Amino acid sequence: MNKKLLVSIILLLLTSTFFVVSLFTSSNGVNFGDLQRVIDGDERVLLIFEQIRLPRALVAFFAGASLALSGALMQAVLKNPLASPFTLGISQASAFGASFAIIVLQSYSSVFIFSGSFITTICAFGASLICTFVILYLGKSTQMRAESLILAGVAIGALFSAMTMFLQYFATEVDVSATLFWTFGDLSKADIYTSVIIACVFVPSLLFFYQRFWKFDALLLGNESAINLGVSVVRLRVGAMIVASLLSAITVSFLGIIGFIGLIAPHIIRLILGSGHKMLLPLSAILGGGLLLLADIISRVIIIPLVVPVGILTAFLGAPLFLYLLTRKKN
Amino acid sequence: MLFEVKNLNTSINKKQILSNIDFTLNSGEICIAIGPNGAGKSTLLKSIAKIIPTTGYITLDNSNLHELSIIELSQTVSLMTQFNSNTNLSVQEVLNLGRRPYSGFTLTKDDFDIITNIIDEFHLKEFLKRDIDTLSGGERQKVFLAAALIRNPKVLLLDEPISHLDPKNQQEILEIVKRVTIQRDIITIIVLHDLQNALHYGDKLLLLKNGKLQKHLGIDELKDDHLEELYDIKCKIFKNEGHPFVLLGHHHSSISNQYHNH
Repeated sequence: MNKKLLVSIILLLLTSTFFVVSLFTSSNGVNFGDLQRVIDGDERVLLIFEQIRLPRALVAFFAGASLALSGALMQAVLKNPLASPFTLGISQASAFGASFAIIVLQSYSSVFIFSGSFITTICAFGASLICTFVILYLGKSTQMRAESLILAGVAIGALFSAMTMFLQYFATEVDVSATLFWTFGDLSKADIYTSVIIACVFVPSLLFFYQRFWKFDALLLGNESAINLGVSVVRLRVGAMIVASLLSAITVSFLGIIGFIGLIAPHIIRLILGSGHKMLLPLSAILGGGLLLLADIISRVIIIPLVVPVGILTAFLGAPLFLYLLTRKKN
Repeated sequence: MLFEVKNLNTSINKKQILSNIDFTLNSGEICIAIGPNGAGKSTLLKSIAKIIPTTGYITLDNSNLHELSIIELSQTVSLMTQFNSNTNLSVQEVLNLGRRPYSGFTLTKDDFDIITNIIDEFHLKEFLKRDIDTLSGGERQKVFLAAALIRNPKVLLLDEPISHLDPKNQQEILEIVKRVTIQRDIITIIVLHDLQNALHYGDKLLLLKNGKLQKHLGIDELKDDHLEELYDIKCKIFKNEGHPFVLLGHHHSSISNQYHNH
C-alpha cells in the first residue's frame, strides 16, 4: 500500500481512538462502563458527556490541530525547523494580556458584567494580535526576511515577559497565583463554544492553505525559485504568519500555554513522509489533535484523582520526544 | 523569437548593480554570460526573471515580459538557481512543482503527460521517490533542469548549472541544454565561470564587468584582449580542429606555444 495512505489511515485511526477514550476518561480513570449507562439512558451520565467530556475532547482535538497547523505554517514560511506558534512571542504576549486583565482590570472580581475568564481571554487574544502586527510591521522594513522575523519575535517575546513580570511585581499574591495558573495550559477551561470558535478558525485556515500547499513546497527551494514559480513570497509569508498567529492566539487565549505540540507534530510527519506540504499540513493537524487528546487522557489518569494541567504534560512528553527525534535525524 | 533587453538597470539597496544593459538574442541560441565575481551575472538573470526590481525593457517578440503577471511570467521564463539544500522534497514533488504555475492544486492529464515525457527523456524514473537532498550533484542538477523545462519556458535561465560537477556531468548537463535549446527553439542564457565550456557550448557571449556589459558578441568574434580586459589576466584563445580553446595566465603561454609547435 502507498506509504502516504497507510500513514494517513493509521493517524486517523489513532486519533479517533484517543477521541473515544477521552470521552470515557474522568479524573477517576478510563471507564468504558459509562457506555452501558449512556445506552440505558442515564441522564446524569448523558449530561456529563454532553456538557463536559464531549466539549473537552473536541477542544483537545481542535486546539492540538490548530497548534500543529500553526507550527507547520510557521516552519514553512520562516524556513526554520525550530519555529513554532510561540517563536514570535505569541505565548508571552498572551500571558501578558491575561496578566493585565487579572491584575489591572481585576477581571476575576465581580466588577464586570461578562465573566472574568471572558475578559481575560479577550485581553490575551488582543495582546497576541498586537504582538503579531508589531512583528509584521518591523518585518516590513526587512522585506519579511525569515531571520529578521524570528529575531524580532524573540525580542518582542522578551519584552512581553518583562512587562508581565513588572505587573506581577506590583500585584497581590492572589493575583500573581491567578496569572500563573492561567498560563498552565488547561482543557478544563473549555466548553462547547470554545471548541466551535477554535474549529471556525482552524477549518477554513486548513482548507485555504491546503489549496496552496505547493507554494510552501516552492518556498523550500528558496525564495528566488519560489518567485520564479509564480509565488508571491511576501504575500504568502504575511498571510501564513497572520493565520498561524491567529490559530495559536485563539488557542492560547482560551486554554493557556500548551507547548511542544506545534513544534513536534510537523517534525514527526516530516520525518516519516518528507517535507511535501500536501501531506504535511493536514497530517500535522490530525497528529497535533491526536497528541493533545492523548496528553489530556494521560493528564486525567496519571495522578488519580488529580487532573494535571495538560500544558505541563505536553512539555513533559514533548521535550524528550523532540530530543529523540533530533538525535535520530542526526544519525 | 527575438529576445531583447533594452536599457536594463538594477539596484539593490540603492546600490547600482547593473547599468544600461542592452542586447538581443534569437531563439535556438545559447548565450553565455561570463565575467569576474561580482560582475552582475546572476543579477542579470534575476532581473530578467523579475525576481529583483528592475527598470528598462525586456521583450520577447516585442511584448514586454515585465508587464506579465507573476504566473504568466513563470510560464514564460524559467530560472534554475544554485541548489538550496535541506529541501526534503522527493524528486517527483520537485518535478510536479513545474506544472503548478499552470494548474495549481490539481494537475491535469496533460500536465502528467508532460512530466512523464521529461522523466523518460532525462532517465529519472529510478529517482522519483528519492529525496532530492540525497542525490549526487549531477543527478540533482539534471532533476532541476528537468523541472525548469517541465514549465515549457520560452526563455531558460541557468545560474552556474555545472559548478561543483565533475567534467563528465558538466558535459552531460550542457549537452542536454544545447539539445533542448535547439529542439524547443528557446532562448537560453547561462552564467558560467568555466571559459572552456562557455566557448564550446555558447553561440553568443555576454561579457560583464562591474555591472556593465562590456561586449556582446558571437563566439567566433571573441579575441584574447576581450578576455584579458575582462579578467585582468593574460589569456590566449586558439583553435584546434575547429574548436576554440582558452589558456589563462602567464605560465600558460609556454604550454600554448608547445601545443602549437606540435
